[in-house]
Amino acid sequence: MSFVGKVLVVTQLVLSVLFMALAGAVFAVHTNWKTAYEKQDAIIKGAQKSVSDMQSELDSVKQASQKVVDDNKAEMDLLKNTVQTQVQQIEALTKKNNEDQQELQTQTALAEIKTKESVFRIAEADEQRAANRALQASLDQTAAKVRELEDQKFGLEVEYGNLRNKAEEDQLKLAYLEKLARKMGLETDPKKAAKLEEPPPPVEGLVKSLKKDRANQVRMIEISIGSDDGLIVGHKLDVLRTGVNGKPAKWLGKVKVISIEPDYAVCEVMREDTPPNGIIEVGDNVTTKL
Amino acid sequence: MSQRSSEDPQPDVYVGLLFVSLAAVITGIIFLVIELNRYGMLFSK
Repeated sequence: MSFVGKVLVVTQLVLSVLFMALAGAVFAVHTNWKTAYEKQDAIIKGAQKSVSDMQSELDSVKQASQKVVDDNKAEMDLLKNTVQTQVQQIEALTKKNNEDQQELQTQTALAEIKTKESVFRIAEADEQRAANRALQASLDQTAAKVRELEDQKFGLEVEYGNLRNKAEEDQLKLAYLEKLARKMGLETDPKKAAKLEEPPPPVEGLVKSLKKDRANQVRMIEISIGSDDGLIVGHKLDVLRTGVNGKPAKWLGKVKVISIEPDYAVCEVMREDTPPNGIIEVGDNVTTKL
Repeated sequence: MSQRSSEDPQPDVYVGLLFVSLAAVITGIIFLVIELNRYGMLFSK
């Protein structure tokens, strides 16, 4: 072998050994970048997942926060409305308070006036009490007088009872006497008796109707004047004929009033004062003037 | 040349050195293949 061949062999040997050494070094000490990459990639994916979870959690928190914010806004609006309403109520109450204050002042003034009036009334009541005391004293005196008068009244009532009993006895006596007087044909009415003693008033009338007895003689006549003309029972009237209707004037006798009414009277013919030819007819005159 | 092959030369030390270098090259190749196998036999990505 040549020298050059020998050199090349040695060089070949040296380079081969170097190549083996380098390859062994790489195999022995070289870092496994793939494993490192996979580890880092796993770490990154875990971090990304964590970030995604955090993002979703953040979104949910944002939604919850937004909901809370919306709720708070709604509540704030409600509170604003409430506050506004309360402000209005406060204004109304303030206004009412002012009115009440004015009313209170008015009532206070009225109360002061009433107080003054009550003081005046108290004074007046005192005066009235004094007057009442005076009146009570007067009333006591009057009551004493009343008692005295009641005693007198009692005495008078006793006396009245006695007089009444006596009056009843007198009435019984009077009734008996009237009955006796009527039986004797006397007038029992004092007024009528007094009038009978007086002459009858000067009146004139006409015979309105006749009543005859069985002997065809006039017994009763009805005349056109009565008590309104002043006649009473017992008055005597003359019957006459004036001769106006062609008949001769003639005195026909006397009649006596036995029954009287305001506008007419019934008379009985007095036979003893009647001429034999005195025939009374309807339309003849009656008078008290003769 | 034909003389040499007919003579069947005796191996010397240099031949042994060549075998040693061959073994070193094969060992280095094995190391590199194993290293490359760690990455799935991918040369680039």
